[in-house]
Amino acid sequence: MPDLCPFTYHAPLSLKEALALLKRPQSCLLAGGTILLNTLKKTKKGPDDVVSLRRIGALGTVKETKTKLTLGAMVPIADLERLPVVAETFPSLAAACRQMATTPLRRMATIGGNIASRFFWADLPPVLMSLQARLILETPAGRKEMSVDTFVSRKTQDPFIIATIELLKYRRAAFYLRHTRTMPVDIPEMAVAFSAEEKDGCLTDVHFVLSPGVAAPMRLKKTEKVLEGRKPEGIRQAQIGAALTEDTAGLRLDDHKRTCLENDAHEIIARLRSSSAGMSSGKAGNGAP
Amino acid sequence: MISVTFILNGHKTSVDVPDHELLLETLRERLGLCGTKPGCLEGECGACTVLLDGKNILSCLKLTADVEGAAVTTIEGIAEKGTLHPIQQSFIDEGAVQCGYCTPGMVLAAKALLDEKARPTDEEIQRGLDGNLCRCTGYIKIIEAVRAAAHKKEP
Repeated sequence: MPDLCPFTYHAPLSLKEALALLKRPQSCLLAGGTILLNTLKKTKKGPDDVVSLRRIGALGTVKETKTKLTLGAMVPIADLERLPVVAETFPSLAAACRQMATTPLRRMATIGGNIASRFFWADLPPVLMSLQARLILETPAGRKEMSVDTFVSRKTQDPFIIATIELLKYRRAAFYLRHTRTMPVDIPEMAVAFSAEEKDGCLTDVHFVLSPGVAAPMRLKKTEKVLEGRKPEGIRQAQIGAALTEDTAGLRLDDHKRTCLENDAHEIIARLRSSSAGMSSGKAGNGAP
Repeated sequence: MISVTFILNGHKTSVDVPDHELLLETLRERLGLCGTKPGCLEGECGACTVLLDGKNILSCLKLTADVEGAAVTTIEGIAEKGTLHPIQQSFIDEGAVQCGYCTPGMVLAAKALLDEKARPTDEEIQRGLDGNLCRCTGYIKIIEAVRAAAHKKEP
């Protein structure tokens, strides 16, 4: 049986209490535990204090208005996947949840934990970036709002707790494509998330995010620029290929990943063409692989 | 040490454990419930599956302290009055057990699935059991056993 290093367990009932505990120098947060406990089993020196978020009821709630979906950070991935609003309005998010790990791990792992881990292979950050999700963080200095892009690109030593994740509900095409080295349940070695609106048959507000497996997820801005304002049927593959090369010039992508990325871009364009369809009928694109 | 109270197989149970103790250790080594198996200890194999508030989770990735107030069901808790649970009986009837090491986890994962959906498709059964590895059977008999158990249940 693996021996975890001894620590003191805390289960605060409020965010305020949790933040106070988190100020202690060797403390860490426990959400679903699937990442933290596995990590602690492999370390000789663990934290002094583990602060479980399980008993803070507000973190486990889902709120939906006409225009916005607010997800508590402790909502399990398995529950997220089954929310009708996620399946209908955010199909790429549903696809990412569905493809992630295994059933018991999805039941334990939480949306906030997946984001806060900042692991390169986490499935949700690229999708949430493409969907322009906003994070509401509780910090000792008060409540802060930031984009997922900002969160994944900045590391902070200051204590924080992701309280909620906010998504605006509107019609868009959205896809999530991931590649694993072995079985589908494996962590992705590379993933692509895409979302765009359609106005008069043209793509707008294009978000093309690459999770390259070797660095934090990043927007492919040159590729987005090529796609912006274009009709899916008018997009030339050569242009996309050139933009992808420019966007990924600084990354250590091997040939296999480069090929996957180009294929994914072509796949997304093909889906957009066949379902400009999907967008104009009022349904978001299918996020299924 | 921390005192944790939870419902274990339908009975209120209190146990004093070190803060860092895993539920798997508590069940096996303090409470003598050895049906919950240690396997990979990394959340990959499903041998340590238990039900937490009716959902299959991995006891090797759960602190005992974190189940305060929850309902935990182990394989020892699903037979009623000496009669095997229909899923357990199906595993026997369909020959879904070989070495048996994965069986408690498989049965509990199947129970969580059938409690949620009485008549799952084969694809849903496969997905429901995707966190439980078996090195003996090749899964066919296990899927047949779950399917048979589903058909035994009242619609």
